[in-house]
Amino acid sequence: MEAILQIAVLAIVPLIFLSMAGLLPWVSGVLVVALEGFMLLGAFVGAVVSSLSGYQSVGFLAAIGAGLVIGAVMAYVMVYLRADQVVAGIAFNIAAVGATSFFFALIESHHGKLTPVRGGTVSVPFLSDLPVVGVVFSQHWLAILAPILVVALAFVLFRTGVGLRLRAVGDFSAGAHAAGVNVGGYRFWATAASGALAALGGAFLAIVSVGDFTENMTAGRGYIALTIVILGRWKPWGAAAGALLFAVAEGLSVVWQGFAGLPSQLFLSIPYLLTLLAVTASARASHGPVEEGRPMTVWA
Amino acid sequence: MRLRKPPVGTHGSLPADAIRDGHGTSGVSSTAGLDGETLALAVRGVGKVFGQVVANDRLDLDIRPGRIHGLLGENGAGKSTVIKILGGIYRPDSGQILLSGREVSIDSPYQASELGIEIVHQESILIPSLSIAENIALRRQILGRLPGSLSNAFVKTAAELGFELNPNSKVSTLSIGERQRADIVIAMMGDAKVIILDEPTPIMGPDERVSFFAMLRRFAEQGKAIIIVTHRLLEAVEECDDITVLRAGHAVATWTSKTFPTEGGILDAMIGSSDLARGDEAKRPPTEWTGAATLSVRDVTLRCSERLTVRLPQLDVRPGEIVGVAGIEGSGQRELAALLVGQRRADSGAIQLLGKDISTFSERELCSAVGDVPDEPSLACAAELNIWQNLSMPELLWQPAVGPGKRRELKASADGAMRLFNVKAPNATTQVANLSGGNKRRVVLARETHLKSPSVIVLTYATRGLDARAGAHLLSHIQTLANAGTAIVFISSDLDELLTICDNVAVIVDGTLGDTVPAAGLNQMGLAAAMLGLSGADTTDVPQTNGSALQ
Amino acid sequence: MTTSVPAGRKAAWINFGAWDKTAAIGVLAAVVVSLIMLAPLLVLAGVNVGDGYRVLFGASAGSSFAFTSLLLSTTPLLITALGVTLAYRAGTFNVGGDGQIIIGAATAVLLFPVVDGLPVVLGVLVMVVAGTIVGFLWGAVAGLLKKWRSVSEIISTIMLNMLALLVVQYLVSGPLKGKGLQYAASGQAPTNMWLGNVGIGAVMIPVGFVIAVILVVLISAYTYYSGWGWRQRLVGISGELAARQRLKVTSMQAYSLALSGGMAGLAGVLELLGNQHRVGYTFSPGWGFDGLAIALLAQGRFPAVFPLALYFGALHNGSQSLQSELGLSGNFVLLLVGLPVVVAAALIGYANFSPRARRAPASQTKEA
Repeated sequence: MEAILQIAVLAIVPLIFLSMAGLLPWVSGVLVVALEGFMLLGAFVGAVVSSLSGYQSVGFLAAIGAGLVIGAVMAYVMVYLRADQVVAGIAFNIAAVGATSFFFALIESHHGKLTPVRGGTVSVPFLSDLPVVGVVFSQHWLAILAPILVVALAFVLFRTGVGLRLRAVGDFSAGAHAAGVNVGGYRFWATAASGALAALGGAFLAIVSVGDFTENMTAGRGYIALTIVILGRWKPWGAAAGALLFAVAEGLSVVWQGFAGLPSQLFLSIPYLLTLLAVTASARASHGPVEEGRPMTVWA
Repeated sequence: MRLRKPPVGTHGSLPADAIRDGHGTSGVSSTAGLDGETLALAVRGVGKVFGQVVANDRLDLDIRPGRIHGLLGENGAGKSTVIKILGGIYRPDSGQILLSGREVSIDSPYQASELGIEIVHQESILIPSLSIAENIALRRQILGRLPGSLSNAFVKTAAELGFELNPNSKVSTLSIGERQRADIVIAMMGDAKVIILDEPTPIMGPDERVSFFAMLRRFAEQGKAIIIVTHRLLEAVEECDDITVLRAGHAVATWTSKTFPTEGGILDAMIGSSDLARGDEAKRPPTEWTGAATLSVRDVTLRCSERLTVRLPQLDVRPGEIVGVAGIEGSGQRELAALLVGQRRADSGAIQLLGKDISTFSERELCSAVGDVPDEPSLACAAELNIWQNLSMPELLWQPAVGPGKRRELKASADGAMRLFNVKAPNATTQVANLSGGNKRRVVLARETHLKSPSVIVLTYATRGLDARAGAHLLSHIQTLANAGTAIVFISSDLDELLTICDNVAVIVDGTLGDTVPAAGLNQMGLAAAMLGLSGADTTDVPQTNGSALQ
Repeated sequence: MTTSVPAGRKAAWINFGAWDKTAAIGVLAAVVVSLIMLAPLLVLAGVNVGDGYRVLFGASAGSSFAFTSLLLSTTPLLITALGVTLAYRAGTFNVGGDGQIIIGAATAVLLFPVVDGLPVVLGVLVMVVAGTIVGFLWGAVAGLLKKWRSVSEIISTIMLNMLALLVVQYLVSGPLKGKGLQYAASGQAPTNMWLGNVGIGAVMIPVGFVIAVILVVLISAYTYYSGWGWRQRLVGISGELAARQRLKVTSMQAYSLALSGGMAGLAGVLELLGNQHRVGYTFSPGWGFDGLAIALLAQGRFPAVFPLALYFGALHNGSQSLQSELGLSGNFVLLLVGLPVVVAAALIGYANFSPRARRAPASQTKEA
């Protein structure tokens, strides 16, 4: 049981960062299919920098920085150059696999095997002493931060003017423009921030969850995060609940591997089947921001 | 009928001829009217060019405080452009704008409202997914935590105007009318000096219109300047203090303080020649319609949304008959058209086309049997394709294959159709994306009413986007088609149009279609009343009046 | 009509009415961007730049063997890209090529015992048809989910990729594992059913490539000239418009996705019989994504698909040499495939919505 919880926590944290990274620009109308690529990049930068610098936090910071820069580049391409968001996103993901594989091999050939710095575990007083569920409260500090991120994003989106503007931009950009909102600016920064968040999720995956970087290690998590956003109906707490569902499935599949002589692939397929089922069950009922994926039509 | 030239106005306006020549409006930089009163807003020599299209050309406007100023003009006369310039959406290429005598530059919609210019756009710019209160917060430029009560001023103004609106309701749950009311309240709740309303009245009923103008008058009396853009001459003459007519981007005539010429005179200024008099067209001679209906509808219902269910108890259109469907926009006309052309299937009831149930028709048969002119050209022609490809769509889509030889034939007939329908484009291989809205509509009309030879044609707001001249041509074209035996369903909200060309008219109110009655026995007032559901479908009971000055 | 204009005919057949600015942007972007990008990367990797280009493209040119190997690596790309383009023309993105390729190939592997005794041509035909059908069905799952439940095919095809890979992993590490193999892979295809080469002079052209080219010509001609092709195109241009023209939009999209899957399945079988002869975990090195990249660059224009497939085929073909001779990561080539598409998407977006495009009359009439 504790093992399941431990795996679930390690699985859920990247998914939460990632689904928030997908949600933020999506609400403003930008469909960031490039999430997968941002994450992979963050995993790569986080693993390399933390290994080379010897400081874990430097790895996280570098991942955030790299994510922000690449996120801003992709934001410029998608928002201001009005590239098709799905096309540019998928292509970026392909390129990200190539780039990270190439550079990782290159760096390892110079420096030898890289090993990211482990550690950083924080225990919440009292709660971490609880039986069984205590393991949830004795985790890496970023894992403790993840729920705070969800709450913060929910607050910003639904209780502040900035959130109002983000939602307005995604729903009816011409109206938002007329109300004095810089449509391109909000979309740009939401997308750049998405790059940073996804990269942080990737760095967590590489440094904390796995402890290594491997080629294409994100294995479709970016796309799963997009489904989680749909499942959560474009609301932070909804997405967090979706992430939880996936993390538990992943935990179960790992724990049950080799169980009762069934092929391990059966369990490994659970998250993917679940995604298909979940999207099938919810797709028609829900719809996202009106302008999702559309090129900006406001000129100012 | 020969229209008279507009007479000379008494206050600061010159004969239309003189103004048209570009000489002689009051001094270019003057900020006061001739009577010395300070202008609330003065537009001086404003020009705006889009590519090769001149939208505004040395445009002058004098807007006085405390008055309702009507802005008239045909489609494309430059009304919307000057409003968007005043609203900070466009920047003028030349000229200046003076607000209370001070030159201002309006760089954004937000700045316009900071300067005291509020615009109620034709289509609401409220954000659908936010509540009215949140929309107000959005315009207030609040970035941090939202304050608890944004809506006090809104509630107060709404009550003043006699509107019942809950500021916490989501805009997407409001009807079009409610959205417009919310827009008006938001424009009025501040201390704006100039309030501009872009064609606000078409979606209002007569009663609403009366109280709307009464409300405008109250605000004008508080010293606000009000500009109202309208197509309706009569309305402008009755309700406005001053009227400016725009044509080809110029202000061609201005009359102040209710010193208007006859409607004919204003129309003459708008159109620029007197060869067009739509109102003069004779009504179609009354005919006794018998024989088998081409299109026949019985007890059809279609639930479209929570708000709207289309109910069509009975509708018959016979060969050669033009049946008008009159109604306020958004009463279910689009859905009605979608049913009649076979796009949507009814929940219950039967639609018969040429004696067979419409659901037994294949897509291909529907395409050739039914001409379909939807309200949006984007529903009928593909912007990415050429003109000839759009014109040949029935063949391209439904022939097993179209080879090079057949393509040349299609291109040739497309060329002919382009000339006939006056589609303005270099040639038939021009992408439709590069055409103006009116030309796109012409492409659709050419295909659906000319290249195809359908048994029935359904036209939805067919004259929209066309100027008066092209509109008149279209109406006579439709009559020619009917005379040749085509059954026609003519969906419109324009009383004039409906009474001019229809043989029979049915009124649609809130999705429910009434009985068809002969158009000959109808008049504008009666029809308008019926469209608002005031007297049901029994429009002939309304006493005849000489309501329209155009007839 | 007898009044024919001889001059027009030839042109109409050659250009397919579709080779235009947009398609040219895609092809040029792919070639130019990847070629320019390559040099600094080679420098970073400490490889002599000249050597790098020579190794990369020398693998595909210079000898008839190299040329054959180029065509061999182009074949699965070309067929997959053809399929993805079909889906793209209906306005859908088939991201599931890889899954459809491997599931198609696995189907053929399942049939090895069945076809073993059959005449060669019949046996090959059975495998090809079966692989195509299973690929078709795999694509149809995404298509039907989209039709019935409005599920985004981008999400569903990626999930189906993962599932296909897991299914095949299970099969080739268990029931279908080749006898005596140290690693997880299927048994070998019956040697008499391997697809060989067609010799034209000294040049050997793989049979799979010949099939691919015939398919490209047939399918592009069919989609350009048939009513079905136009209906598909209209659906891709605007679902609302197509629906108003009484087209069955979602059915057309579902069918196109399924066809696209069928193509990928076929590509898998041809690759199996023509090149790899067994199915392992890494049967497809990402042809599905590459096919998507090609379709995106070609913007649904078939004439652009062919040169792009050939170019990407050359990159893939050369990447193996780069790995073996210069020690660069095999995934390296994905950078050369992905980045040009990002650049092309940006260019096309800018071209379509540039300030110049904005001045087109279409955008003014609303305001005027």
